[in-house]
Amino acid sequence: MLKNYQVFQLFSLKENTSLILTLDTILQTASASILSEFKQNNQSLNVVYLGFDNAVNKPLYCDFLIKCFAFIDVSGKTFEDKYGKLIELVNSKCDNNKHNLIIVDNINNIENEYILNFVNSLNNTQDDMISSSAEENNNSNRTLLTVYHKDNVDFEKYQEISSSNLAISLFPTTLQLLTSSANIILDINPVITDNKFVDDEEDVDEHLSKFHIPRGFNNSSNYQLELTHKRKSGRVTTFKFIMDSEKHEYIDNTKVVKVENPFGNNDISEFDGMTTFNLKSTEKQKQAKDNVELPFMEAQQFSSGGAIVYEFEKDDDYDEEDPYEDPF
Amino acid sequence: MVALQQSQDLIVFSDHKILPKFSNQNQQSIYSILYNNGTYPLWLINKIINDDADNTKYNFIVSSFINNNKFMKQNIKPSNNVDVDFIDLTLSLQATDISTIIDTKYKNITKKEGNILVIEQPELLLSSVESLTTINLFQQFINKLLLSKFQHVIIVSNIDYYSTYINSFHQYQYTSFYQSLQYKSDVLFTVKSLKTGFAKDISGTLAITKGGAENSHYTDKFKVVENEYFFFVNKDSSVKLFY
Amino acid sequence: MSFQRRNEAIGGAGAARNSSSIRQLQGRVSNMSLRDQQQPLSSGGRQPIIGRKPISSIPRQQQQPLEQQVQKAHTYQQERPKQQSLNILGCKPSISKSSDIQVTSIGSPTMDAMVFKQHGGIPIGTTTLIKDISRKDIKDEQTLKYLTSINYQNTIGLQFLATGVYHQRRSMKKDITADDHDTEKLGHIGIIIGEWIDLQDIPGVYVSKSKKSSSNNDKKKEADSIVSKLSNVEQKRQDLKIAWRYGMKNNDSLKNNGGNGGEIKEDLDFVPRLDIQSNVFPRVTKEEVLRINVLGNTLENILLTIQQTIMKNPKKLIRLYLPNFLNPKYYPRTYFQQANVIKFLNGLKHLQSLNESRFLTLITTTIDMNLPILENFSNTVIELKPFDQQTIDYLTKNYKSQGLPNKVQQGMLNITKMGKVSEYGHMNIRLNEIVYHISKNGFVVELWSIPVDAGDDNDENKKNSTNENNSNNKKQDKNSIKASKSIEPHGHDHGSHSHNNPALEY
Repeated sequence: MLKNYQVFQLFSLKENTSLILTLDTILQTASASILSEFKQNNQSLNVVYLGFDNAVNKPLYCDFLIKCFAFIDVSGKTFEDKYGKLIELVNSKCDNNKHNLIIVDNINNIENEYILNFVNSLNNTQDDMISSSAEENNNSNRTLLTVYHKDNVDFEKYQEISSSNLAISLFPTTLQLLTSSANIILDINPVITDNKFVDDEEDVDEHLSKFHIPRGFNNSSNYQLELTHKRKSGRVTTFKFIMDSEKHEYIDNTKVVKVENPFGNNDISEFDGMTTFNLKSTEKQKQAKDNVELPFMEAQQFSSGGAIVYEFEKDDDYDEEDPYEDPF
Repeated sequence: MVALQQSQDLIVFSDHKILPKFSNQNQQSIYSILYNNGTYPLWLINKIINDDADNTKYNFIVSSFINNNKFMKQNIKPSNNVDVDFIDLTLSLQATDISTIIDTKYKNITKKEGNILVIEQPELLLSSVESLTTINLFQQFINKLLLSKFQHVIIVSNIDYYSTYINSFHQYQYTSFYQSLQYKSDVLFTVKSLKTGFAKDISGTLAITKGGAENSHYTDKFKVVENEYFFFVNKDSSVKLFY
Repeated sequence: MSFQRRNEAIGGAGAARNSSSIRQLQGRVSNMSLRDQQQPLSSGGRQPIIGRKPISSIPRQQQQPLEQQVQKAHTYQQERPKQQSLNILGCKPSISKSSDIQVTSIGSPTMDAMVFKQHGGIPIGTTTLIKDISRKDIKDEQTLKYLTSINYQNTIGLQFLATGVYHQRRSMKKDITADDHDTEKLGHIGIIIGEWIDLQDIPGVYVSKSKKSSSNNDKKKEADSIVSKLSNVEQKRQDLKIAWRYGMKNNDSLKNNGGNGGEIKEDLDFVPRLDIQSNVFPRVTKEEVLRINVLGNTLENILLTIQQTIMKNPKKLIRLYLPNFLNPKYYPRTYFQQANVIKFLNGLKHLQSLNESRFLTLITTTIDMNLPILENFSNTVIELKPFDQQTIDYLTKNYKSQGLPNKVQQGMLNITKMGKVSEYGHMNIRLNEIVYHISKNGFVVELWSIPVDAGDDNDENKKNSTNENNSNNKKQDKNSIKASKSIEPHGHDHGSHSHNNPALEY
């Protein structure tokens, strides 16, 4: 229970998080799965949903739906001209007495050159004439969540013909910008192994190459979440979960991830009948082998010298340093 | 043999309906029908218009960028009491600006309640209007139609333009258009030919899959039923679905 | 000389009457190969007479004539009700019973019967796209020349035009128009877009050794001889009973399906018997085939010219041929604006819809860059996939050992879309079922079947293939192996065709 509590804590946004990046694909979209978790875990959140992709229906997990296309001036030449109206509207929907979650679905709709302006102006209203007087520091009650579609490759390069100079510039891509500045990265993927309509990832790719979406995807009840949490201290932790957004349950999947034997395949059954030697060892033999303490093990304990001293900060939760132990 | 196969009804939702229930007047939806060259799903459009039990409550508008009204009127055959209008968009491909299309072509539609739009190949605008992006196509055209003119939009698209290796502006726009369809749609209908080649008694397969749009409104009683049918188009253009 | 000849290619309908200069030049025209003709293109071409309008402000200019066209077409349709279309020579109702679709021949009897199986010919009012799969896995130098398969497309295209010329000439003859019907018989007009095609290459009608084919009296006799000739091959196949399993089975199924080689009923009222080694005589005039230049022109002007030609010839079936459409070898860069291309195709489709009963288009193309749009706007899409050299060697070896060197197929023909079939939702995707080759009579298709493996005679085979590579001349037809490969199919395909495909068929 304690484990789940921490994830709840994260989704409830009680820790001060300013930017969350959610990465999704056409087979597992954020809007149909993980976005519902925030309101679920903290009913007092004020969720403002900027619908670029979903500009039609107000999802139940949000309080306001802004149909962005109606507030964007397409002909606008500067950031202010183009998005000023939209940002003003978002600010007016934010409740200063509550914690606000602003969901941008999806961020690919914002030109690469404006990404930083956009993120900053939604997160930080100090420059904003309207609300700056009321609150001294009102960005503390805001979290910006951006959805980024992973399958939109090379987006910046082709977004605008006019910005062709961007293609040759070294300016980072939207994804690079967001991953570097996000506090939490939620990378969601479908669970392919449980899907009875496809064989494996290769099969999925083959379907997708013709844009045939196989059945059994976009489940809100069974999907993978890879959560990367960047703490203020600079420490980065990554966890894996199998999520169920219908029952709101989480299975910790971190240790389920198989570590492939880096020394190759120990399966020698393929030599069956090919040698006259006995290459096999019985289970008992293996166990005995494993139990032998090798003399040089001691030397690997790093008991002295070159230790990493870590200073504990108030935002950090205490963690055993044993990497094989459960992260919680 | 097909003759022995039991014919199935087209079911999209768990309440056996094809079109979503519009219990809430603000509830809207997008369907996408995806096909390739040679699997043009005229029959499916006819089926969606004619087979839903509540179809007489809706006004259908059929618009196409590829087939003119003459063709559509000849081939979209509404059954009795179903209200179908046709708006020809083929010559709109000659336009240089998409913002005027809605104003001129759909000006007679004043309210969106109960209006269902079947629109064929809006993605062609990506080619015909210079430097139009997918984002702008949705923002200035499809979203606007949904905002004030239609409660439900069925987009019929040819996915032959989809490519996984992108090396041009247009390829990118088309590919991201199809991806957007998946992200925005409630339901996807994919019409495919048989992998094994031509068959005399099976025309192809129809897959119904959930789209990626937010689905918080769906409940266990009312949700998309994913399914895959075989279909066969008879000589008289009647269609049979079976498993 | 080739430079001078380009002058005959005056674009625009306005120039149609001015044909005297062409006649002067006609005497000098020799049998130049296509390759020779292509080279001087870059040195500039004559401005088309119609092409005065500037490139800019495309939509306004174009929309207006389209609207005018709408009106004119309406009045035209009122004046001439449907039955008029029945009087066009070389047209017949589609064999699909359900509709009143009219069809005409593409110029190849086997194509009409097998590719356009549902109709028995190209449905009028549709666009047919023949595309060549360009090979991306080109390895050796020899296969680099894959563009030579353009010749396949042009072989069909020229047959397509030749059929039009044939019917147009028939319409001018009194003995035909004064048949048992009193009504006027309507002819055809061809439009070709592209100066790189030599109109004198349009094949002539087959002339039997003793008599002229145009002679009405001998028509039946000639038809008989053709049928017997064609079926001769089939007969040979029948005789070689040893392990002709696939071939035999084929023949049976063909009988049922009503069409191939020996089974096709020759109908000279529908499709002429062409001899691709001969040239049409007398030479083609501008009243028969109008040429529109590409160089110095724009797509919108081309569309306008087509439109005017349609209006100026209200009593003719329009056969529009766009060879090697958007091939960068012939089309300048300015043509590749996607918006213009789609507007052109859209306009063309619109014209087609307005003149449904007397307008059809054939487009051939090699590159795959713009294919999605092209395919989208075409009613019929046919794909030619040349065999790789390995497969051809294999086929040559085996057919030769069977004594049928003429039978060597050159590639696979796939159908992904069929006019007046696919658009109604019927399935007509046919892959790996039909093969093609060029014979003396032009483009020939047949159902694919695997020849019997003749075993190894590599030495002989090698000798042949080196000969073939040196010979690019169509005239060497008498030596049949060489001829069948004079237009070299290139490209790299999986050599497994011959092993896989029979399995698919049954």
